Amino acid sequence: MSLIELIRDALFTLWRQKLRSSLTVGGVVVAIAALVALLSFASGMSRSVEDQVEKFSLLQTMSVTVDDSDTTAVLDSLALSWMATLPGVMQVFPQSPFSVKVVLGADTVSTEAQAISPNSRGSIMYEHLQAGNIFEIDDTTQVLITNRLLERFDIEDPDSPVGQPIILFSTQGHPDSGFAAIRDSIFALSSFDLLNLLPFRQEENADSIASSVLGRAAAVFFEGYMTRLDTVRDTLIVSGVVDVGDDWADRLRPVILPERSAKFLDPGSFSQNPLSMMSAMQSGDLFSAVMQGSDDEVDRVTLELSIEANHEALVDSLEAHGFESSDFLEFYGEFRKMVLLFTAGMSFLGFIALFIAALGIVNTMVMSILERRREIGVLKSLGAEDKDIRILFLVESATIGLVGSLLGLLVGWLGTEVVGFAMREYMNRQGISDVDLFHLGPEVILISIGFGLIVSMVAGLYPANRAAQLDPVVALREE
Amino acid sequence: MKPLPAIHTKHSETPLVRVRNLVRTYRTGSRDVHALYDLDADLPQNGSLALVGRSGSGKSTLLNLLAGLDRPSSGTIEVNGQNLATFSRKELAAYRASEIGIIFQAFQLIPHRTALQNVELGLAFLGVDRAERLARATAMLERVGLGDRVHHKPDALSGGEKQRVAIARALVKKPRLLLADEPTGNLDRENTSEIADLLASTRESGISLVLVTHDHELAEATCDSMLHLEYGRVVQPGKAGS
Repeated sequence: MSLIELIRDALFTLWRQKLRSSLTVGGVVVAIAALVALLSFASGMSRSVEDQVEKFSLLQTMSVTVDDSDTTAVLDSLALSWMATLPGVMQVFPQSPFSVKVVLGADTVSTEAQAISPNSRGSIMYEHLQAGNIFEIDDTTQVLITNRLLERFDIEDPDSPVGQPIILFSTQGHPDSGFAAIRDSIFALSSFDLLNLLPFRQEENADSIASSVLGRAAAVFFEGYMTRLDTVRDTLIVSGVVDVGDDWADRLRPVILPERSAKFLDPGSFSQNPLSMMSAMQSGDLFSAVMQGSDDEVDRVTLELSIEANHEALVDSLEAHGFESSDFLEFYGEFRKMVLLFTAGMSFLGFIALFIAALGIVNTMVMSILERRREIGVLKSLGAEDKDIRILFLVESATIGLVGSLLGLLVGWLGTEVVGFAMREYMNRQGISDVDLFHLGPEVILISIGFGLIVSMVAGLYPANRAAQLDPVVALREE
Repeated sequence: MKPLPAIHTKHSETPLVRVRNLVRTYRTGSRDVHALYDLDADLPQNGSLALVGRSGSGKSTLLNLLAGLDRPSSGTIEVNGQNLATFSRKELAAYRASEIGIIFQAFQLIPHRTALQNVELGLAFLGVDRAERLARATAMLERVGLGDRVHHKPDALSGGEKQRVAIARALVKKPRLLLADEPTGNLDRENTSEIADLLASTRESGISLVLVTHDHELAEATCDSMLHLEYGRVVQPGKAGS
């Protein structure tokens, strides 16, 4: 008998035992659907990250900051020039974001702005222009904005703001304003308040009084720092819109300015964010930053690297000069390992389901053989070899596996489509850029059908061998 | 009814079947049961032999051994000069596929297959392609008078028709030896007569016949010689009807 005839016979046999077959196939369908969903999810996650990595060339960038333990290292123009000479470094550009208020049309939002340096002009980051153009580096009349800022303004068409005026406000707190507040506070003290200071002279209360006075002075200082802000205003024209995706959102701020415009809006003091100020006070930078007035110095720079760049060598060079670096490669390696483990874990869960389905196949096949002992005896009396009987039953179990796998694939695909759609809708409503959670690639299809077939055939081995070894004389005697 | 096609053999001078010192012992618990004991028998080319005797006398055991469905404990069974006792499982399967046709008392038709599919199955293990199998099976069913029952399943056939399908299945491969185990045991007198005619006609096609039966009339009508078995031994060899 040819294989096609055997498959046809197997399908016919399964059709004759509809209830039993459908229950057994149902087990395989559930298992394969689960396997498909789990593997699609793992594949979707991996693919989503890989797409972002590729889209934004994340493996070709490195972030550099000053190593806190090195007091001599400074991220200034000299350091940036040196970094530009390192092998594999294509671009060096500073990142020193500051707070701004943006007025576009009738709406105002608070966000952050960032300068770009002349040598970042050709950065691949800026290749992702959604609309308009990149400004000339010495042009103080134009500004780039990102798609994230458009989302804040509920603008869907990236072309619409191009060429439109945008007003930027920068408000900066200063230690001077804090001290001025203390000074004004002292002048404003009433005689009653002065009387309250008398216990100062009593030694036993000196500590608590000093603590109280200093606490009050600090509160006044903060109040002055927060309220007596210098406001700088600049009106620029939107030259273009950059798509920053998800992974650049924390690297590229919503407003991107030429260096000169940035220096006008952010003369180098701290933002009004109390946390940044307290952090600066704690580290002792509060006054030195202002005193230095170093327009040249930045908190962090981003290196754009060539594909051939040796990350390890770069890290060593930077560390030797007192800089800390972080890049996506390390994270990406860990991520890939995690994806591998995750996929293995998902597959294991799928295989448990498949194993249970395989037990169902064994049960069905053993039942089938018990019911068809006479038929096996007849086939042997007609000249069937052991291998013919074995193949007959293996084809039958493989057919269960194949039908179950194909249906499972369909069910799994439908399930992931439904869940994926619901998740995309949910993410859109939450303002999260949607991601394809599931990816049913050819590898998932092959793995699912392949394993469905293999597991069902392995499950059919024992019953098939049992059938092949059946004594025809005994089998023919069956009632 | 048309005569069945003749089988030509190169060794027409030697017996088709030669059985010598045949022993078949079964182990039942701690006891050995001798189903056949030191049995000798011959069947000439194109000959026919009836095996008669009471239940448990060893008739069916001998038939199973001749069919290659069972193996002897000792002794030889030569069919066309080849000792079946030395055959591997694969060789025995090939022997069953090409050399013999078996008819059972209980018909042993596969219930979910039609008459045509049951008969076609007789050629399934000979490497014959499906189209030829169907053509030969159809012709054989017509020859046994079931041309109008080709697509009926066994449930829709009478006892006599079922046995004719079984005979068609046994003969479609043009076997050298036809083995019939109580072929009329489940049939009424009229059907028994029809089956007897059908079996007798196989002789005209050059097929040798070994018939197991309780029915002496059937044995006399279809066979040249007879072996009377009792407790696994031949008690009365001779011509049928003697």
